[in-house]
Amino acid sequence: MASPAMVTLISSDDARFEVTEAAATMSQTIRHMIEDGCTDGGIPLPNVPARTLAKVLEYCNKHAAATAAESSAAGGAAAGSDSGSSSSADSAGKDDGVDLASFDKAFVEVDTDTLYDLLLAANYLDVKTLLDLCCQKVADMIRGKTPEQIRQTFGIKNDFSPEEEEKIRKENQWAFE
Amino acid sequence: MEAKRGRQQSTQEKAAAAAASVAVISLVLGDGDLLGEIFLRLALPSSLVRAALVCKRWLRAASDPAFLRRFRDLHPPGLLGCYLSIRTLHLGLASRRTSSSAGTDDTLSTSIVDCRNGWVVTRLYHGDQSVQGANSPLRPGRGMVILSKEDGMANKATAYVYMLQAGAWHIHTSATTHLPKLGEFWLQPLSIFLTGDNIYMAITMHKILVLDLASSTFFTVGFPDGMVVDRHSVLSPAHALLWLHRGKDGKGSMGDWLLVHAICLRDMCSSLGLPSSTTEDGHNTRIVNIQVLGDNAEFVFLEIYGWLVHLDVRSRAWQKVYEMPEKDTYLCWIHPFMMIWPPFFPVLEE
Repeated sequence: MASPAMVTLISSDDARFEVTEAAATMSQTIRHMIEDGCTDGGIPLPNVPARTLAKVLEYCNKHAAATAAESSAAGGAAAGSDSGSSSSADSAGKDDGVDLASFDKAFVEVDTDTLYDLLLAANYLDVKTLLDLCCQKVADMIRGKTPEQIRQTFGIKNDFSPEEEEKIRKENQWAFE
Repeated sequence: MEAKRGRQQSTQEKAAAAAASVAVISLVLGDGDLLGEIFLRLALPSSLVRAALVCKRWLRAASDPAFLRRFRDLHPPGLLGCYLSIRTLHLGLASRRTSSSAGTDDTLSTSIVDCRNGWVVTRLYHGDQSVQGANSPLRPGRGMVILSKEDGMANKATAYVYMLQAGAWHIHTSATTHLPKLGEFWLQPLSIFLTGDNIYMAITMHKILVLDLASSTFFTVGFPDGMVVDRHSVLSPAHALLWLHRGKDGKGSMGDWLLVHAICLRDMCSSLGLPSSTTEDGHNTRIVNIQVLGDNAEFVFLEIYGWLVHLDVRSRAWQKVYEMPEKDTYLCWIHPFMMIWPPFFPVLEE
């Protein structure tokens, strides 16, 4: 098996990361750069610091590997390879499904600052599944809280006047009961 | 002493970290697009309203009309309950009753005309006169608002469309039309329902009466070819077919019908444990009735073998809702009571 194509990514603080093209192109932004041939000497990502990029790449590596395992399992089954190896590939694929879900869950169990960094990076790099994951995590943190609790969680200042706040509350009383 | 210094340092670190995180927060949560993506995943309108009350920036993101449309598409307002004329699910209805002076077979002095966006429109009878009023069980303390006096019904149909603006009801539009034999050939009434700019409001043996809100005019549409129409049912016995009417196009054509769903009633009956044969007890004319169709055809209430069944059209999931107490029970009307949507966000001065 040929060694996979590699690309080099450069973070905003000049750290270099070698990753497989499959993992890197989970980012649509990087995919477009590769398609445009802007890969010589590494791909600069001026909006993403090393700390965050490492975390994003951890996600991409895991998911790209799972996708590869899935497609090779499907390919093996389609080609009718001997039953022993295909069934073991199958069960590996299934394990990956469970594994990925728990990986994702653990992946966003981070402090809010890291979560925001990830959210911004996923948005800039356009990694759709990671953006979904982070948005869902923030939404879960908002849900079930009162406005005051939400402000505390995210450190947001209330800039409504008491009259304005009362007005919104009155119109939507049903949402506060 | 050592411990104290440690504490001081950690406080300073915390303050610095907090300042840094405030900057990041304003990047993430100040980005209207990202905030919208996050709010979409709140799923519940009540969570959205609470988030909107956090700060002005969040309120702006939550009240953006394009965002609200996306939210509604992803999370259609849930069904909270329903009003039945059999008075078992009577949710805190206005207790204003007057005894009917005629007092023959109809002892009800109120009946529910429609439920819309958390409002319940009720017809109040005073002898042979009636008025309509609206109250909102989810907004207690507002009381009932009287909408209009009703004229006698003949071949003339008049629609008054009320709109809630800044907490008060205003007549948005009204229109009148003459429809021959309107009262004569009334089918089992479907609820009035809204799709796009049209209100589909009355169904007779021959025509469906539609009010176009944009022009305040009525038009009628015929039934699609092959649809069985009898006095009680617009269903063929084995399948529920759902047609969507595509409305008028720009050239003045009346639009056409599009068959979007065919639901096998036999499958539905067997999965609900209801008898699936339509002929065994020989009374197949009143076996299946459509009772209510939700807005945008999102759900249907069907009356099947004495059961009221809720059918979610999108997911094709069905659920028994209510069993008629007796075989001969006549269900006069049923009105689904939906979650309030959209939330009303007042426009604040910047």
